[in-house]
Amino acid sequence: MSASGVAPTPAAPLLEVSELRTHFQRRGPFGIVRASDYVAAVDGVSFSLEEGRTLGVVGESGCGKTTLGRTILRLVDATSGSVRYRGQDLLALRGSALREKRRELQMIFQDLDAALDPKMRVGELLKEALLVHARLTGPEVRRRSVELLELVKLKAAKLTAFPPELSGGEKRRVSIARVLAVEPRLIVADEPLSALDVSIAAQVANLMRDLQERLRLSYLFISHDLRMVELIADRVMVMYLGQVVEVAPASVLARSAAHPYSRLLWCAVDPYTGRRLETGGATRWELSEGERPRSGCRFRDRCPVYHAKGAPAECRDQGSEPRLRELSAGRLVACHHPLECAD
Amino acid sequence: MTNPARREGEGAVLYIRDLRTYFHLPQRGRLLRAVDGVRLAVKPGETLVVVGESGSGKSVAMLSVMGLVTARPGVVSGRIWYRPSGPEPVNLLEGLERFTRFDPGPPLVIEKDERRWLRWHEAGMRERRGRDFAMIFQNPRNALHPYFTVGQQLVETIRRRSPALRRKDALAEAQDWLARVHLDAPARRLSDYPHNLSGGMCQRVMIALALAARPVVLIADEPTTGLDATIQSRVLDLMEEMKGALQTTTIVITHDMGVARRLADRVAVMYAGRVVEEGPAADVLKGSFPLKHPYTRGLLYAIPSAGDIRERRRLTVIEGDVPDLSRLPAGCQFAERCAMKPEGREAECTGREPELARAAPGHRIRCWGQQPAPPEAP
Repeated sequence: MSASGVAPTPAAPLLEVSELRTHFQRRGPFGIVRASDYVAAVDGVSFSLEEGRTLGVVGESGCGKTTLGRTILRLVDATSGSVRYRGQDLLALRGSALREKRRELQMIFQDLDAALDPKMRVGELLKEALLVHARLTGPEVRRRSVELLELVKLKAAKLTAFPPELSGGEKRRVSIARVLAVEPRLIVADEPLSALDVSIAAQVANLMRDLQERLRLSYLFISHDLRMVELIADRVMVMYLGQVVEVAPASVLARSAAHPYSRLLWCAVDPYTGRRLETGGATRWELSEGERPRSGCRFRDRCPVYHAKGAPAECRDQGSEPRLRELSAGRLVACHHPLECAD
Repeated sequence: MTNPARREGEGAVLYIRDLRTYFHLPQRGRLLRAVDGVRLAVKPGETLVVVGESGSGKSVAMLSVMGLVTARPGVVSGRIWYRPSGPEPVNLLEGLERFTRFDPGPPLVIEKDERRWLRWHEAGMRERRGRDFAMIFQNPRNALHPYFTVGQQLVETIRRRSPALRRKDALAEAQDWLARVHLDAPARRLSDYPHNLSGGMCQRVMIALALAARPVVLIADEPTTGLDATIQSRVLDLMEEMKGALQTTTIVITHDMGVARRLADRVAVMYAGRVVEEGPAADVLKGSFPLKHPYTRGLLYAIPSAGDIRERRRLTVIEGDVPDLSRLPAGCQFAERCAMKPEGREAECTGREPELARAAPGHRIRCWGQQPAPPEAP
């Protein structure tokens, strides 16, 4: 690949997202759209990602992590905010300029069967991706395709296979090869390991780390598997109902999360660490659609601290939403009453 | 009766023996051996967790127990001894030989009068299903009936169990069950339809439905897959709680070692339609335990441990892919992916399939590496 030999420069971040919002308008009866009736899928998210690094994004389904990834790649339109890639505002790009940039920013989609056309052979799928941005001759395409398959540790014989003939792990590898075909710098990986068997997920996790090292890729790694996120990501961002509630190095979060929601997530994976969060009877398991609070702390209905403290006003009131602030070096938390951490 | 098989399954509520469930693949003209000689036993009040990757046959084995396999030829051989109470067990596959001629061969012989067998078997199973055996399905939203309210579905189950119960009392019990599975506002939920509920709520309704039948054996197929981590954890809490309160014999099917760790008394690991290891949960799930099938060890190491994460190590993986069940090799099914073949005896691994042999009391492993060298074949 062409992208080796870049000296490590910790200078400006590769990707800088600030106050990004993606709201989906809902349609009422008779298709009437009211301005106030929307779902804030992404609601004021800011973060930055350095080159060659991995930022993990975790949260429950519906927290907006996939929409965040799609918004950054301009697959859905942002409502407001900015996304800067190497200092350039991606949201302002149009037409061919956007097309050119897209080459550097790619997405690994969650649904493999939707991502790979079942009627195209692996070779054709790779060829399609290779020819998007480059003019290659037949033999060149073939040579590059074999290279790509080698990169994801598949045999060249698979070039003639159709996706339905492949196993889940092989399909995942083909989808990664297809993304690598355009030589991207930043990959948004949306649940790349879900739907894979345990032994296969581990193989793909290793592969993604090898590729990162070899090609100096940056990942936005979206997943609900906290163990894998800890292993792959340098920093982890926890999202809840469209907002970031905590950002910290992966190992720090695993050891002790400061936001009650993050703590709840990590306790769920590892219930025997003794960090169990006492969830009183008053806390809710989950919120159904339409119960999302629009003001105050959005987690309060499910928050054991909120209930234990007797519903303090600052968590409830409009205008006193918790802002993301630095709690200790490298750890940002959006909570009025963060939990004690052994930092 | 001095049937040795019966004595072997003594003390078990359910004793599955030599179960084989095959499917024809018409397009490829081959036979898929989904379950190929499975033996499992569950004692009363015990939780057995069957772990395995997709295609290991864990779900098909349990569907065979429930009599829910309809694809052809389906169950071709085996016995499923069911002993709810009292000394005499019932074979749930009673009469299978009358409708089926099966010889594992070679040459392989399968002749089955499918229609007559299904009719005969269904007659026996219909009354047991939902009463002796209840099942929690993987996709709760699809398993609940979309046209009936949660209350109607629960009341139906409860009144099937106790036909003498009045409708009003059944409704009160239904509400009680919803409260027991921690659904908030249970009275209001009774009149909700499944589409009004979130995935986690549906799963809990499903659990309530299964438990309300007060089954002798509860089978849960991937009870937490597809749920969010926080909900998963609470569903597991709930299952633990119910296990303590109701003492229901439970079989849990999962691919998640974490689930096994939370719920299991005993664990059976399945691979390519076979049980490759079966034993006490603590021993099977401990990576460093000396007696272990290489596949089980691989599964345990595939999950990042605290040490892996701290030192950012590469994961130790099982190379290769899950085998094609319609084209299984001759020897040990795992041999191709196995990195721990016994030195100097590799030929055994690819030549002959090992038995599920006793490695310690109550612990069986199907691996040549865990067994002494076999006597020379004459």
